[in-house]
Amino acid sequence: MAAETGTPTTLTLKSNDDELFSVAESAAILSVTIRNMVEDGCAGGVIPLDNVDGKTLASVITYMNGISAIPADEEKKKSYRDKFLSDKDFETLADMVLAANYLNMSCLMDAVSAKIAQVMEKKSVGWVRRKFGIENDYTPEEEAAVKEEHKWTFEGVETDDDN
Amino acid sequence: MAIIEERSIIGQKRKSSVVFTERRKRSVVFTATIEEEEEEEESSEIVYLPDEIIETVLSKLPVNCLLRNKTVSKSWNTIISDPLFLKNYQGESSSSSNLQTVFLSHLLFSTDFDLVKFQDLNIREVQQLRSPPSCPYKMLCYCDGVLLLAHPYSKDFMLWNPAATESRPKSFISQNHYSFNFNSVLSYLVFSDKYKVGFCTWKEFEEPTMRVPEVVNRCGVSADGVIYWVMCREIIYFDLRDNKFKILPFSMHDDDDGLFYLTELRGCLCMYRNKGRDKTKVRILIKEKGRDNNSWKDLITIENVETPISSFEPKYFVEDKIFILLHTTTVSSGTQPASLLVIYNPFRKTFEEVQLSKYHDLVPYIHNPSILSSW
Repeated sequence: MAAETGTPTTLTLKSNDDELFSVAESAAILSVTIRNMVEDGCAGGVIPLDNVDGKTLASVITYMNGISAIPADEEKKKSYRDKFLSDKDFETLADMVLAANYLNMSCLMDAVSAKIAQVMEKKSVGWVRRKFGIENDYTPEEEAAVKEEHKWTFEGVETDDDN
Repeated sequence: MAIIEERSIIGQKRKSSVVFTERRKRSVVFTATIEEEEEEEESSEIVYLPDEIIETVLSKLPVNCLLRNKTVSKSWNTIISDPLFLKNYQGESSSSSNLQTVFLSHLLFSTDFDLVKFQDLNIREVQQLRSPPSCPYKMLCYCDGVLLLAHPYSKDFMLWNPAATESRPKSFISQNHYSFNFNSVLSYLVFSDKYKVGFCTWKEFEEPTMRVPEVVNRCGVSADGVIYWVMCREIIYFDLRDNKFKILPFSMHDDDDGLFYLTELRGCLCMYRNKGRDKTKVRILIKEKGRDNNSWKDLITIENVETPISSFEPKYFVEDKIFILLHTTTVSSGTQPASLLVIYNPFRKTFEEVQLSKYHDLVPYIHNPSILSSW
């Protein structure tokens, strides 16, 4: 309702490490979580985002501003998303996917999870375990059996020396 | 009036924002208490993702990478093996060139199948597969990861899914069929002799009854969830939505020879024919995906062709290389048709023969473990 008055409304978002960010409401409501707060009239003061740290939130806001500046052209939006995510490392992507999930931003969620999948494509099983913090609960025999069953999928995988 | 209304809204916002500020304070206290623990976590750089997000990420992996990650842990194996997950999984095969280069191949003089890859002009084994139960069977056709096999002497047929090592054997009454096709999406089987086409489900078999004039004596081509044939210089397909044969309209280039053939490349229906009256040039056109999408564009024109177009069959595209099967009849082996697999080099406009050694009947491998279970 406030948006109809003509002057762009600005929201203040606060990360869980107490950093404050100003962002145009029109960009911020890409997040369904934030949009619901605005629609319920709960966005007047500072909006605390308990699950997002400052570094990640800064990144998400860059994305919000960037993508909302692009008119309805799916091609251009896609190339913006690709460029935006191109230089992000795995840890940043993991933080972003959590933030996108919490903020309920389906376009960012889709793009980041697809990017993580792309990063994983040639990575070894050991790399995946380390990065996702997963404990190998197979016995060596069980692991060998699963591996043998899908031997062809181990073609072209990077060697496991990346820490 | 409007101003008053607005004010009251602002008033409301203020009120509710107080609630939020209180919550924020609590959250600040909370983060402060666990800060030391977080520091430790940060040093090992691990961000733990909940299962629902992991599932989203996994669903976007190409199939080879997805299956490899079954080895990560038991819980990942459980996620990846879940029938519901597999049902929703689209298989991002287009993003992975690695996947497209894996082929399923029949071994000559054997009942076994291997997964193979092309390496320059040779074929290399990637994995041995178990042979289908109660062999020997000959491969008739292949669709969406399932093979239709036929016993050369008896009347037995079998559908076999190597990804699930699952099979559906069946004895058919008639053997008088020239070509077979099947459609895995709608689980029906199509067989045709020169004049008739029959449709049946795997469970209920009927003799071919539907009369179709002059269906070219060649296998139809599976694409878009239907099977296309060439008939009288038209492309026809059977539409299961209203049980009718339909003509797929397309405009001919006037200067091209009227005879044309169909094949499937990159998951799309393709048409090929001689370019103009020049028998040494074969022009291949590709149709956009989707039964009702009827736009065609040029894929490639192959030059210096020495074989007649009737024995020329474009088979696969691997990393922008086109593989062509040339059917030749060798005198020494009598009626047994022999064929040659060649790669076309578009820059030098030459062909190079691929050493097939013990392999034949190569089909692009599609891993589709759940497909037969719904039949």
